[in-house]
Amino acid sequence: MRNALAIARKELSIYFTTPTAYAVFCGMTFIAGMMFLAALGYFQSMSLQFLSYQQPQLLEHLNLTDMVVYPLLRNVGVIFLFMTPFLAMRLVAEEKRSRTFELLMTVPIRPFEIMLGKYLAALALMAVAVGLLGLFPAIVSFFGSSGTIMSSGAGSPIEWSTVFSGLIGLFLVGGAMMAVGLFVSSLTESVVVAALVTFVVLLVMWILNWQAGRMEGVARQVLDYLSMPTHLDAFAKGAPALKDVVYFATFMILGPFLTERAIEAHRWA
Amino acid sequence: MNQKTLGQVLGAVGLAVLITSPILLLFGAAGTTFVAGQAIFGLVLLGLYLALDPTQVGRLLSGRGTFFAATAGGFGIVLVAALAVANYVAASKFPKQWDLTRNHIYTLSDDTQKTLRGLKATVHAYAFYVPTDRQYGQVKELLDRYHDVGGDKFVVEFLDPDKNPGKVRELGVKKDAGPELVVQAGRQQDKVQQVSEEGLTNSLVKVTHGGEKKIYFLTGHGEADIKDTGATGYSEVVKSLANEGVESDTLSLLEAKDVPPDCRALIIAGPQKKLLPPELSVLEDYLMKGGHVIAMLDPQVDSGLSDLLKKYGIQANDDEIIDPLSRLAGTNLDVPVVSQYAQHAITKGFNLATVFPQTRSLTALAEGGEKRPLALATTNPTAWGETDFKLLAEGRASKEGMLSGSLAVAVLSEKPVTLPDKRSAEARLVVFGDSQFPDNRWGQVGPGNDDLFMNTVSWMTDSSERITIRPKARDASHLTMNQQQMLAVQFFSIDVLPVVLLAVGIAIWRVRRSK
Repeated sequence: MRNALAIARKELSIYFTTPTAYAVFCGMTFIAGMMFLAALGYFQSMSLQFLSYQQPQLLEHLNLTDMVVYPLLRNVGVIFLFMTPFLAMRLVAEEKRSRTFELLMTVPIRPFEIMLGKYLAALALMAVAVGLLGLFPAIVSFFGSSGTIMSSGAGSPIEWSTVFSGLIGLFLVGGAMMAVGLFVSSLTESVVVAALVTFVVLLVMWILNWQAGRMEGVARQVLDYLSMPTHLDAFAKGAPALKDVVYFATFMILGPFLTERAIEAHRWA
Repeated sequence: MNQKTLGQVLGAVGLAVLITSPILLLFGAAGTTFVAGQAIFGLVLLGLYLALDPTQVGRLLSGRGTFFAATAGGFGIVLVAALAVANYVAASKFPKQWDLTRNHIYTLSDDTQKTLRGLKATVHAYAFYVPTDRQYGQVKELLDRYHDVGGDKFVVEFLDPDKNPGKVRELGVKKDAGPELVVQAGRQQDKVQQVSEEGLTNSLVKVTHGGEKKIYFLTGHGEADIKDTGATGYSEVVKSLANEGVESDTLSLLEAKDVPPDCRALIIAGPQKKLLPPELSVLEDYLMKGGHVIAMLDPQVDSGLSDLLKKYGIQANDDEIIDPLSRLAGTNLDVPVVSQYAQHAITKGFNLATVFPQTRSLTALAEGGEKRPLALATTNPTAWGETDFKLLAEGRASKEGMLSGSLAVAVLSEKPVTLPDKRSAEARLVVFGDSQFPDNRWGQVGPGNDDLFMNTVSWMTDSSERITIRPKARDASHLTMNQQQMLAVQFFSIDVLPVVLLAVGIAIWRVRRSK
């Protein structure tokens, strides 16, 4: 375990002492910021529209969690789709390319520990990303108030329980994507190939439910279930089910397991 | 090209063909048989690869990695299978959901949960929605929640009406009326009026608690015959009722002495002779205990019911309605066309014209304290009730001195029941001034004739109380930001935050490179 933590620490220090992580996070926050402002603007214009109708009961339907935070968290999943291949590509492939992999194989560290260390570092990276995204709901909470414009209510303007559920969901999406990226990275020496293949696999997992719409019966149910947005949505709206947790856990178990096997395979090749 | 190279090429093609086959299946680009064929083709090519270069087989079997690949592959397959089972079980056997919202907006109300847990037979929900429908997501989410609680007893099926014409016909779905949701239990089915928890649960209660609904038609006084397929028979409308799960039977009160306990409504369809006193007392007793009666009383016939009707605030006038305006609609003077209906569950959303051949007028009497009877359907204001039947027989009529204006041809009366051994919470009585309007002939003539009769029967036989479920939503919240604050948020979101991250990255990179 100590070896795994040492590897995780090394991986993290590489991420944060080179511009990679910063560049990716910069892009992520910029695009998320645009999405956030769009949702905020939409909310503002709806408020004004309902106010001008002079029908206070319409204002009762306005909710910042539903109309700003929920769409934001759902859409950020797409940013992750583009972001994780870049973050995961170098995890194992870079070691092979720079010939440090042979070195790693000669020290008394089990492949399991190598895999665990690298995956923990990837998860830590996703935690930081999710933490950065948590700033947006915090802004809403700072400027918003509960109740309607006509009559202010008590309590928090943001339903933090729903927001945390959504952030956890995003973390799990990131974890699942990193698991795929880690495995693909362990199969090749080229970081470009690793990123590209990871992206294609994740994209397929992301758009399966487009295809589901054209099907009927069991086929639709299966495709719907296999696609990632279905499960992120459950977390983002604040009502995750056991199946959503199991779905993400499947990736987070299978990816690292296959990676460990792929690393072990080098001893036997 | 030598054999070895050919084998390698075939092997590569085989591998590609084999790997892509499940993806093809997933994206529905090809049928199952085609994909299976492709997979077999891939395997054959791989076999050729090994056959053309037999040394590969030996190398593969004796290699150091073979043992490892076999164990890793075997364990991998077991793990994948175990995870697949775990997903299947979590998705279909343990529908555990954590509703983390403050108002528990994703949790079904107690009433709905009780209804779903109490389901004895399987209920099918057929949603004729396609994913491009605006409400698709909302409907799917609602139905999924019902399925989670109801389990195997609540089966959800999404159907494209264009691809399932058989089901569309079977359930009587109107394709042009937009997407529909139909709930079916056994032979009972109901269209969900409003797709919400309240609408769906009420439909669920309606199709499950109803059981077989039975109505009786009184006989013995020359009433319309429910088996008669001739012009004056009721066979058509009785068939339509059977399609909606309402069974019809006949009842002679002279033989039976009492109304059977399974009777949801008793229909007196145009008696041509007076009812006898013992029959009248059974009828009165039935109504007092919360019975439901539809009485259709043709003009110029004394059915002997007038005293009983008066107790419920309804007076059957001894006249026949004449409406000159009905000429315009293409019927005779004595066939008034009716298109004015009262606000009531029976006539809710009902906008079809009905015709009443030779009908008497009815009067809703104002009775103090009681709920006033309701004139359900009324004629045009141009009509009058002709009492001079001699003149009428000569084919003439005169408005002079007659009851005129919008005359009622259907009146409804309800009375709450307080007796302990009651049949239902309230007595319901609907009187029509005519018994021909739903028969085999006139049921086809009047656009709404059959529907009005069926709606009345359906209201009469519907015993379930409506459940009210308040829709749940998150509490309202709002933003109070002025222009400056909005600018500040904008500045922070797309400027400060990303730029700081980028700056730190570049700084660290520069510093480390210069070391």
